[in-house]
Amino acid sequence: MKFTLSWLKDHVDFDNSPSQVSSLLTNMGLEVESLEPANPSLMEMIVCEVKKINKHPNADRLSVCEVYSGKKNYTVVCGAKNLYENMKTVFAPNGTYIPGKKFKLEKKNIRGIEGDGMLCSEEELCISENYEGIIDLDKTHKIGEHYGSYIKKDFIYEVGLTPNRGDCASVKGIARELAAKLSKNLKSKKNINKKSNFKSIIKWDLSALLKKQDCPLIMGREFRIEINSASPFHIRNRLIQIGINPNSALVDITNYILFDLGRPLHVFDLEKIEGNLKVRRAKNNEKLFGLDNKTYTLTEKDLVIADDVKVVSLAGIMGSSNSCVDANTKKVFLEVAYFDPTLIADTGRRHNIITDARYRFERGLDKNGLKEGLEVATEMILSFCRGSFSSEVISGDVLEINSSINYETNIFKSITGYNLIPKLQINYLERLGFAIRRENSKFLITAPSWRHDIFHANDIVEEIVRLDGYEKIPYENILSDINISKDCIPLSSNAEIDVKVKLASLGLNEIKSFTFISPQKIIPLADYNDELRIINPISNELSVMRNSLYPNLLDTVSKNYAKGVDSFSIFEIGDIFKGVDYNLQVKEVGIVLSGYHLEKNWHSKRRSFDFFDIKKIIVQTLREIFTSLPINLRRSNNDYYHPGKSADIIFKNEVLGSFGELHPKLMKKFLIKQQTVLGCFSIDLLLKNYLDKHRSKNFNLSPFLKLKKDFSFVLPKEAKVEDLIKAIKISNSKIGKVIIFDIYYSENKEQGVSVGVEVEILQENKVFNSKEINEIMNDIILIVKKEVNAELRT
Amino acid sequence: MEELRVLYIGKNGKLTSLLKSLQALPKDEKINAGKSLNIIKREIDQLFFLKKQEIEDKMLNSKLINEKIDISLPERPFKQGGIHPISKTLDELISILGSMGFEVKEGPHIEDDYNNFTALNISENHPARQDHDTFYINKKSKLLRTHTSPVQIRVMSKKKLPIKIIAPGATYRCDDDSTHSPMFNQVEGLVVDEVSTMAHLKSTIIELLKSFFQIENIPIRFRPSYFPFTEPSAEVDIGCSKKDDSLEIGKNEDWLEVLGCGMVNTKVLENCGIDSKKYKGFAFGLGVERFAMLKYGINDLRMFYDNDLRWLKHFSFSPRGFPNIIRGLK
Repeated sequence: MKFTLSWLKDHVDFDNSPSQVSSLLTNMGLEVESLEPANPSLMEMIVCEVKKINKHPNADRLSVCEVYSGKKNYTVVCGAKNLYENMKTVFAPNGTYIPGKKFKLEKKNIRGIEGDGMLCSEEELCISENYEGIIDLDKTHKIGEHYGSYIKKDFIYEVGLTPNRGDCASVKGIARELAAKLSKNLKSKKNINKKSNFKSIIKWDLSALLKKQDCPLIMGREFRIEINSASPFHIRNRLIQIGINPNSALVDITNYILFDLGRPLHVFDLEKIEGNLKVRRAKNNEKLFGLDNKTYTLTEKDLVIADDVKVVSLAGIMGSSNSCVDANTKKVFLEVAYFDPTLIADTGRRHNIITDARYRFERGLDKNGLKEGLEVATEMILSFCRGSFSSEVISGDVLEINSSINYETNIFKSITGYNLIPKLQINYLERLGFAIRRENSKFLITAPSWRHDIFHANDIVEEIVRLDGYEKIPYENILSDINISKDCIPLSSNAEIDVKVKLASLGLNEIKSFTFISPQKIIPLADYNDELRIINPISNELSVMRNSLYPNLLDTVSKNYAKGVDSFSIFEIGDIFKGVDYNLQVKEVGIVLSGYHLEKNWHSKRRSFDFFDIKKIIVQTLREIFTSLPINLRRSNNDYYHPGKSADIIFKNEVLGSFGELHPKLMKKFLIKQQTVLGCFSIDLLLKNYLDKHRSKNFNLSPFLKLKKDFSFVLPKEAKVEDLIKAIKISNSKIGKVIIFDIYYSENKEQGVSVGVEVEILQENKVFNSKEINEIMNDIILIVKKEVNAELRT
Repeated sequence: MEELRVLYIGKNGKLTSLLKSLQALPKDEKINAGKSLNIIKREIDQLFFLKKQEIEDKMLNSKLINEKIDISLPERPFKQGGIHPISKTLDELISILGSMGFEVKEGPHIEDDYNNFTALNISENHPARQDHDTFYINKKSKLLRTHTSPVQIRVMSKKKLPIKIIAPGATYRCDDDSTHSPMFNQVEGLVVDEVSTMAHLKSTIIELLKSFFQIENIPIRFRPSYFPFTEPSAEVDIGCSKKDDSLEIGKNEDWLEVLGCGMVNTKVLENCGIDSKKYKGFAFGLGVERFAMLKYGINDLRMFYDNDLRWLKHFSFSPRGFPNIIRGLK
C-alpha cells in the first residue's frame, strides 16, 4: 500500500516528522517498507537568472540563452515564449531526471548548439499542469539555491500489509490507525447538499442471487455528464505518485476512491447496457470480455453483474470491455457493492486475476462504507465531469454488524506477561473504534465495521498491546525451571551429525540439493512412482520427489567436471521418498567418489577411486559411529552398479544400503567420464534396530609378545577371502588379527587365487613353545582346508 | 686406527705383553708397575674411544648432510572435507535451542492439506494462502509442506503436555528467483503449557538471537504482525547497518527482519483437542538459509543448492563436531 504524507494529512492532522510517522506505523504492525521523498530531482534543479537571450542561428522559434547559477554561466537552448532578460527561472542541468517527462536529461545537440541543460515549466516538474512557458520566479527566490527547497516537501510511503488488515489498504485506514496511536480524531468531511435531478432507469435486481449473502447490499447512481476528459492535476499527480496511470476522469475517480477510502467502485457506460442490471451467478461457459483484453470463461461459481443480454462485470474483480466508460461517455451508472469475500477470493484465484478491487473485497470492506463511497464519488463526478445525477439506487439489506466478544481485562496479563490498568485497556480499544459495553466485571466489546479479524479475547489483547507498544512486553526468563531431557536431540540427529563429521574428516565435502529431480534421472528408471510427481513443478527438471540421493550427487559430479574438477569426494545426507506416506520417507547418506583419488602430486602416481575406496569409507563410518555393529556384505543385484564390483550392506537380514562401482550405462547417462564409485545407507533403518552396546569390560594387557606367522594359501575359484579369514579365526581361540597382505591371481583363473596371510597368535598368559606353535599352525591349515578348501601353497 | 690400537693394547699388543711380563717381577714391584701400566692402558683406551667416536660422528654427520632434501617441496596431498553451511547453521540453532530444553521433532515433507493449512487456521479462502505458493503432489490432498508448522499440529495432536519442541527441516514453495528458492529450511519452535506468556517468548527469542549471532547487545525489536496460527503475533527485527551493499549485524542504524512468532492461536489449540482455557503457549519460525546468509556473509541464496565445489570449498566448515552440553548427554 503506497501513499504520500500530504495525502495522509487530508485525513488527520499531526506534526510528527516523516520518519516518526514511519516508526509509529511500523510499531503498530503496519510495516513501512520504504519511505522516499516525492519528486527528489527538484533538489537538483537550480534557481537561475537569464542573462542574455540570443536568437538560435538555425531555428526561428528557439533562443539560445546564457543563464547564471550564482557560480557559473550556462548555455541553454529554449523555445519558451515567456523568456525575458533578468528573468528568474529553474535550470535543470544535464543528467537530472525530469519528472513530468519521465526521462533523464541527456546532453543533446539542438540544431548545431549543444546546451548544458534546460529551463523548466511547472508541468515538466510535476508541480502543476501549467505547460505554457517556463517558470517565472519572484524575487523571494535566491539565485543558486536548489529549487526543491522552495517547494513543500512530500514523502511517499510503502506499507506492507498483513493479510488480516484489508482495512488499511486505504489512506483513510492508515490515517485511522495513526489517529488512534496519537489519540486524535479523523477529519470529518462535509456532505454535499445538492438534490438529485432525476430517477434512474436502473433498479438493482438481486432476485436471481443463488444465496443472499453473495451480495447482501448494493447501491448505485446514474449520472448524465458533460465531459469525461482528464481529471484535475492534483488527482492525477497523486495517482502517479503511488504508481497508478491516470486515465479518464471517471476511471481516475474510482481509482482515487479505491486508494483513498479503500472502497472499490465501478462505472458502466449506460449506453452500452441493454436493459436492467442484475447480480447473479454466471452460467457455465458464459464469457466475460475483461478490461485486460482477455476473455474469461465463467462457471456458476462466479458472481457477475449482467444486463439483460451479457455479463458486464466479474463482481468485485474486473469490469468488461463492452460496458466500460470512454471519452464519449455521456450516461454513467456507478456501482457500490458489498460481495461475499470468500466468493471473490475463490473466483479471483480460479481465474488468476489480481486486481486492487479483488484485494480489498476478499479481505473484507468497511460494512458502513458504501454510502460514503457513493457520496464522495458523486461529488467528484459532478465536480470533474459536470452534469446531473439521479437519486440513489439501493437493493438489499443493512449489513450485519460484528458480534460482541466477552472480555475480562485480567486476561491481558496472562497473555502478555505484564499489567495494564483496565481503564487504559478500554481507552486503547475506544481509540481504535471498538464499541464497549460494561457488564458487571466483564466488558462486551464489538469490533468496528471495518475490522474482520477480531474473534476472541486474544485478538482484543493484541489490539491493546499493539497500541501500547510491543516494547512494553517484559523479558521473563524461561530457562530457570527447565530440566534438560536427554532426548533433547534425538539419536537420529546425533547420528546424522556424527556421520557428517566423520565423512568430512575423511575428506568428503557435504552437498545439499533439492529433493525433487527430473523424472528422467530416477535411479533406477523402473522405480518411477507417479504418486510422487509434483503437479505444478517449477520445471520438469524439478518435478518428481527423489527416491535416491544418487541423481543429484552424480549431477554435481558432471556439472563440476565441466568446470575443470577431476577429483570428487562428496556426500549428502537427506530425505528420500519411497512413497507419499511418512513411513516411506527415509533419511539416507549418499556418497560419491569420482575420478582421481588425489590431486596430482610428486609423491605417488595418481589412480582412480575404486571399489575399495568406497568400501573403506562406508565401513569406517559405520564401524566408528555404530561401534560393534554386526554388518555383512552380499553381492548386490542393483543394476546401477557394476555387477561384479558392488555389494549390499546387510544388518539383521535387512538391506541397510549398498555400494559399488557405477555401471558404465549410468556413467553415460549422467555424462560422467571418470571411474566413479558410490554408496548409500539409511540412517533411519540403522537406528530402528540398533542399540549402542558398551565395549566389553574384560580387557587385560598381556605382558607377552604377540607372535606373527605368515601363510600363503591357494583359494579355489569361487571361494571368498572373507571365509578364509573366518576359518582361520575359528581355528583356535588364540588367534588375533588376520591380515591379508598379498593377493595374486595366476594366469589360469581356474587355478584360483594365492592369498598371503599374516596371522597373529596371542600369548595371553604364557609364552608358547615351538611344539605348541606348530599345533596352532597345523590347526589353521586343517580348518582352512575343511572350511574353504584352500591349500597351503607349496 | 684399529691397527694401532691392537698394536699397543690389543690381546697381543705391546702394552698387554708388558703387563703379562710383569708376572716375572717380585710382588711389590709387580703391584706398582701394574698400577702404572694399567693407568697408561686405560688412558690409551680412552683416547682411542674418543677418537673413534669423533670419527663416527663425523661420518654420520656427513651421511645425514648428504641426505638433505628440499624442505620446500609440497607435503603429501591431504583431502580436506567440509560441512555445508546450512548443516552448520541448523546444528548451531538446534544446539542453542536444545540447551534451552527444546526437543527436536521431525515430520513428513509430504503433508496433507489439513496439517499444513486447515488445522493452522488457514482456511481454503484465507488470503494467507496466497503467500504460500504450494506444490501439490499427484495424490489427493497431498502437498509439499510450505512451512514446518504442520509438525506443531502433529505434536499437539498427541496431547502429551507440556510441549517444548523445535522442528527443523526442509520446506517448499513454488517460487524461484534470486531471493526465493523452491526448497528451503526452517526451524519451528513450540511451547505449550499453563504459564507461558509473551514475556517468555521474548526472552527465548532474545537469547536465541544473542547466542546465534554471538553479539551480546544485539538490538532486537518486536513489532506487531499477523500469522493465522498465532494471536497476538510479532515479527522480530535485529539491528544492523546497511552501507554500500555491506551489511553489519548488531549495529543500531537500521532494522532487518529475521523471524516471526506469537502466542499460539486458541483455535489451533482447539483444533488439536487441547483445552485452550487451561493451556496456552508460543511458537516461532525462522528461515535457516537467511540465518546462514546473515551470519556467514553469504549473499546469493541460490548458491546453497547449486553445489559448485568452488563455492562449497569457500563456505563450508571444517569438521570439528558440534560441541555443546547436549552432546555430552548423548
